[in-house]
Amino acid sequence: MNIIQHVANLLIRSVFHADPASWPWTWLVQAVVIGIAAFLAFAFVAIFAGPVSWIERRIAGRIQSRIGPNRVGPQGVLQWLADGVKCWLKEDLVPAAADRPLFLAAPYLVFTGMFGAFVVLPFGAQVVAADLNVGILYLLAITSLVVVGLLMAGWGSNSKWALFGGVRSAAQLVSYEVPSAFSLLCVVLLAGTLSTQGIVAAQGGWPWDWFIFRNPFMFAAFFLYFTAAIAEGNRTPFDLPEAESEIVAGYNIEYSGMRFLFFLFAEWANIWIMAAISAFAFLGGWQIPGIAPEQIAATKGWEFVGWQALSWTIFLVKATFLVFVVIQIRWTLPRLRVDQLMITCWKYLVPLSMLMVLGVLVLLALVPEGGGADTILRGAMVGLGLAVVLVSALRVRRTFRVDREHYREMEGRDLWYPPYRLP
Amino acid sequence: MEGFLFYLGGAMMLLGGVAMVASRSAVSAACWLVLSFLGSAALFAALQAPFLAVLQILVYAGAIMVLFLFVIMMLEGPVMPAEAGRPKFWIPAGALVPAAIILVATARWVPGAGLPGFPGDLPPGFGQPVRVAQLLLGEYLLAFELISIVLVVAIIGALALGSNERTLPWK
Amino acid sequence: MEVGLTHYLLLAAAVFLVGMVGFIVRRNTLIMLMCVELMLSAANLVFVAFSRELGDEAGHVFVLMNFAVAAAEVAIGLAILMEIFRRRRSVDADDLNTLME
Repeated sequence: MNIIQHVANLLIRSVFHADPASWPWTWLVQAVVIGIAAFLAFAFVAIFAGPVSWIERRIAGRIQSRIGPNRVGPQGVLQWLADGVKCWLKEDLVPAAADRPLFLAAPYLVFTGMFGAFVVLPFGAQVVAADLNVGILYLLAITSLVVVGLLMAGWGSNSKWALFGGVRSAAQLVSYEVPSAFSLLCVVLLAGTLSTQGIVAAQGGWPWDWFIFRNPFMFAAFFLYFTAAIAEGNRTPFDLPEAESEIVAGYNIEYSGMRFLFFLFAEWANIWIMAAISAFAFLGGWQIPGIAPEQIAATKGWEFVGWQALSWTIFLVKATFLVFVVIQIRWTLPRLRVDQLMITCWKYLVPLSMLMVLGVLVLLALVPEGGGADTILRGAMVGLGLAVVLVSALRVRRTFRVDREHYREMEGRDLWYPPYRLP
Repeated sequence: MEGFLFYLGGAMMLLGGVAMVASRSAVSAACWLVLSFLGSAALFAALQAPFLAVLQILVYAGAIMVLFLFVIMMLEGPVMPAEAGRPKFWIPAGALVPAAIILVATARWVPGAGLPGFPGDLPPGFGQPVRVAQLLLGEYLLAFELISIVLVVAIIGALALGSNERTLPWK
Repeated sequence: MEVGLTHYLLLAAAVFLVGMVGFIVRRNTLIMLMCVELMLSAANLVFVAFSRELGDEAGHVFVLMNFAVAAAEVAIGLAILMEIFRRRRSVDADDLNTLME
């Protein structure tokens, strides 16, 4: 029984005091709950994209030693609402020489491709719209539809810059799909299933049960996937399709108003999806440390809903953390050149990801799960992961310290410390 | 549900195909073909082949059509003089007529009266990746290995055709 | 609304015909290639429909092979087209008549 039916039954029992099995309006309550859930899933990206776009701009301001949006609301927290309203009110321009049907249809195709992915994302123990047996393949397939939309936008705009952007992004997405698919293949090999819930269930709540710390090849596969996914999401350092300094804004240059907003939503949805895929495929997904999924499924009533909410929160925290990593990478690294982009993919990422698949296969044959060698390997990988986190934390701390000393030298007073300076 | 998917997917596939044949610019033809392939994926889903349905989208819509669009945009530039100055009306008509003849000739049976449906008893897990993979890597292993040779030959051929002739090692 | 094998065979025949007619009447080689893809797709549909009828996944395996062949065909076909375009600045099938004389 999934969470939607469960909540509906609970509501019927507690609010209407009726038996869900025999009550005539059960289907209506279920339909309403499904509608609310669908609306939440649909609005999720919009609600998520707004505040995160504000946070990203503030972080960008901090990294680039400027202020960032701070006018609308306290510290500018309502900036995203203002931007949204502005886009609603803008005129919906269609260039005179555009290929009209393609131009009009492209944003919706991109949007659909992105939102189709939400169907199989495992948000919680029983919170998934459809647990398909081909889940991972479905994710790859539905997101590859986006390329067609981008090419349509680039072509339909009848503008050189848009065409360049569209063609660049098509080349980039098709190329980087190879290493990302290979990295996910490692996960599928370990889990023995393509179903997204099955992949989460094959891991555990504690870090040493996560796939990323299973063996060195998985550790590398995670970073390969993350790199390839950033490239697929057209984010810096791989944002050639929208390189402002070269082709103004890429495929969305001729768009305005809501259609432009749809492209932005798709971009944010893409970031969220890639973070979510990394979280559930490598970082244990919604698994709660110390409690097995079967125990959650066996609970009853509001306790069941509580566990679901907890698993959901864990998943959201992991995915949101990765989203912030993406933001930080965006404002830290410079953009690649086109030839460098292709060389990175075909000369390094693709052979490396093939090597990872091979390594995972060899270790799968040599190291039985649960044996002594497996335990040692997992322990060593968790240690390595901790070391990586520690080193990067120390590095960030040093940056802040140096920054603070410079500030004191120049201004003669202390920096408003942790870590994002407010004006 | 299967009947609904059949009519939806079939309509998408047929409409996409006819519109593809009838459209003047190669780009819109490619977009219509994407619609046709999506319809075909829906039909695969209706036929209890989820694995193939997903692969159809991944391979056709995601890879082959992108390759098509990519080449179209490289070849023709922003102006598309495709078959300008030819009579246009007979192209869609020529595509529609045979399809219409077939449908009309068989209209007696199409509504489903008296036509048998699919047998209801399928082996458990029919069309799931596991079963297809067992066949692919068991009974049809030779074909599976041979197809990899086809792909390698295609890669080498495309590289040899596409690369600048002076840079080829044997020139 | 019960749907059986015959429905799928009819649909596949219609789609195949559309592709065939398109291949004959169109002169843009890109669209001719797309018509070939459409015909392959119709053949795939027949394979899967028979697979469903007989309860045997062998048809699915054939379709997988067909995918690979289609991908190879498109890669080679488009590479040849690019080469033709580079030499003749045209992708019109009627312009490719050097061997006619």
